[in-house]
Amino acid sequence: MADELSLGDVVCQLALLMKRNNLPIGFKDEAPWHLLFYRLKREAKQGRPGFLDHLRFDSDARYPRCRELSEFLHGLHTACIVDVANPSFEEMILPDDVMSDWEQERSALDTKSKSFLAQGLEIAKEEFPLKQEVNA
Amino acid sequence: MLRESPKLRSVVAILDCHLSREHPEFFGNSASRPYSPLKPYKVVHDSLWGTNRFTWRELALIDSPIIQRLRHIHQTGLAYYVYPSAQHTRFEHTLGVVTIASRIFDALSERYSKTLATIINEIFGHKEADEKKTVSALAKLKQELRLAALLHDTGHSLFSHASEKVYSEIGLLKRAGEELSDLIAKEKGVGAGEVLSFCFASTQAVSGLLDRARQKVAGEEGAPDLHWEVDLSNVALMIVGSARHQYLQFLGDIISSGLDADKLDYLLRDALSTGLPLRYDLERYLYTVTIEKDYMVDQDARLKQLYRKTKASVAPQPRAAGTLKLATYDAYRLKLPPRATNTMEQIIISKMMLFSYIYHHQKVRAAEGLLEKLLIRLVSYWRQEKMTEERMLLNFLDFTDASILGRDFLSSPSRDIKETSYRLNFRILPREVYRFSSAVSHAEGKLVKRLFRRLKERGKRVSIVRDLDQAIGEELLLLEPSLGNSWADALWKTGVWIDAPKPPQVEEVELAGEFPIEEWTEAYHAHRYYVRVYAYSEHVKIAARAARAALKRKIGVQTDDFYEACRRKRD
Repeated sequence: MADELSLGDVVCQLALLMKRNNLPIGFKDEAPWHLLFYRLKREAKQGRPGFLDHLRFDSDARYPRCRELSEFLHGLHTACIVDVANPSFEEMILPDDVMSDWEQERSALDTKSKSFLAQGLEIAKEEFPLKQEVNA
Repeated sequence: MLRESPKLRSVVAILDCHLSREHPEFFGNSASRPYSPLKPYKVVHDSLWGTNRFTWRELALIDSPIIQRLRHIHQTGLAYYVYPSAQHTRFEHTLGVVTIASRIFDALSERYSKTLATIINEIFGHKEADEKKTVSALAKLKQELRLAALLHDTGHSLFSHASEKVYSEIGLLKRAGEELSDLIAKEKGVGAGEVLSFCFASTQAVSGLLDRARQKVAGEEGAPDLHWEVDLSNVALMIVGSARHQYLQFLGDIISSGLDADKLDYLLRDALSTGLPLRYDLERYLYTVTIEKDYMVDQDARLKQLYRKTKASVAPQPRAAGTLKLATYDAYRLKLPPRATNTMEQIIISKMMLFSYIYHHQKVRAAEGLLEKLLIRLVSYWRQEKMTEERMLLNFLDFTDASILGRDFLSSPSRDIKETSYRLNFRILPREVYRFSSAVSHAEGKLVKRLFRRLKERGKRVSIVRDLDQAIGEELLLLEPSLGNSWADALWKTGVWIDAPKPPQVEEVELAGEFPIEEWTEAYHAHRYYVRVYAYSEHVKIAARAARAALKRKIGVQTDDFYEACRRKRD
């Protein structure tokens, strides 16, 4: 059920989709993640999970910043669930076993949730800079 | 400022009423204190920061019950059950934060006098450079900063953070916290303790005391800083990491941010008091700390509303944030440049070590977990007795660490509360039964990692822990039906619970790109962060069996050798 998707589920599933679509999964610069969720909160309609309504964004950075999201992104790394590219920490790397685990979770999702995640992927394509842009 | 925040106003009114009733000499309608004429300043010697001066405004507050009660609240909660010398209190920490905040301000004034003059001219509307006015305005801002440091911990209850989780569930305080988050446009820094500290700074009691202090000091020869009044709304905002004007944001950063004076004091004070040889280079910090012009995004025009309420005449500017164009406010922020990398490394490593050695020590977690269960039971007892939320809140504010010996605990009419208070008071603490870490090489490690992933999600942590607790309670009842009528009874009787503390966070320090913060924190989380199962010593064996059965069911790890590896045994 779409309303059962949690913040963590959406982060993991979007990271998976980004990987499948050859998008860089940013880690050190968190801004794209926050902007992605900020836009999802404002724009997403179809299959919108309930947690989005309670997500809070702080106004003390250069972008709307959600502490809960930040905590989870760091938690994924510090709990050794995902890797990051050393020594620059630019990108998140998904180990094969984690990808297959999340893939399994994805296959159990309903159509509404998948549609919501598809909206998320489209926003991610706009907010996450491609590698050549990062290097430019 | 609080006109549109009814719950915050209500908490402020409750505090005012309480203070005037309980301490009429200080805060009543005919208050007489400060009684004797105040000296312009006094010095206090601190074991960490040496001899420091406190102004007459600060002395009036320090000598009042609002600050004096902090003498009776241990800074590191129940950590003294493990480190006997950790007897330091919120009181000395508070004075230490005033000293460090002041030193940061002085370091900035010395090196960024032009920037500060620009800020002051902008805020106070000085038409042309006037050194006298600038000096006076700087003194006023410094005094407001020092008062914010002085009041920043006034919202603490017994054993510091160990009780905060429980009183943060009081509905009235929860709703006031939400209003405060809306007011300052950020969630950060608004734990229940901070909400109360913010409210204390907003009371008539505090402003009245400072007014009387001015009259008492007025006749003193050479008394300084009498020609201006402090802005207590700015003081209150600094406590929660904000400020009344965008250009003063660096002051909020000094009190509450990743680089704040609070952290600089507690890191050294806690290490010194426990006997841990941790250090960082404060002189290097003060030598390198800077004020930089930056900007803050204003989503939903909440900053605009805040600055309207504080009467700061500022206008937002549109700037790009990703593909969006959002309103932003220019702000001066506290920053550390790359040449301060060593200092930041020392601060972050010290913080991680303190979590590992003190705050997340298995016996400290056992004692604080037991206190939390006790307080939850106490609140539930109060609810049965039809106590109002207002009364509960005031009870927590009246509590100090010594309350554990009193009528609400050790002499409580409730047998459960009395017995648990006895255990806590005489250090009959639960034991660690299992200890799990995310760094598992076990074949079923994937399942453990899945659990840890879910625990890293703030919104899920509480429900997962409750679910696991329930499963263990059910298994306990299956093994020993005489433990009670419900799984909750069985858990209470055996002292069993799952402990999954909030992991330490490394705040958003912009130096993160210069050195591997993530590597340090990863090492900590993988090897020093644990999810534990606790039980009273006399029930450890049955708890181990029940927890194993419950975790097999809930996490899915089936092999016994995994549980054997995680089992904590004394022999």
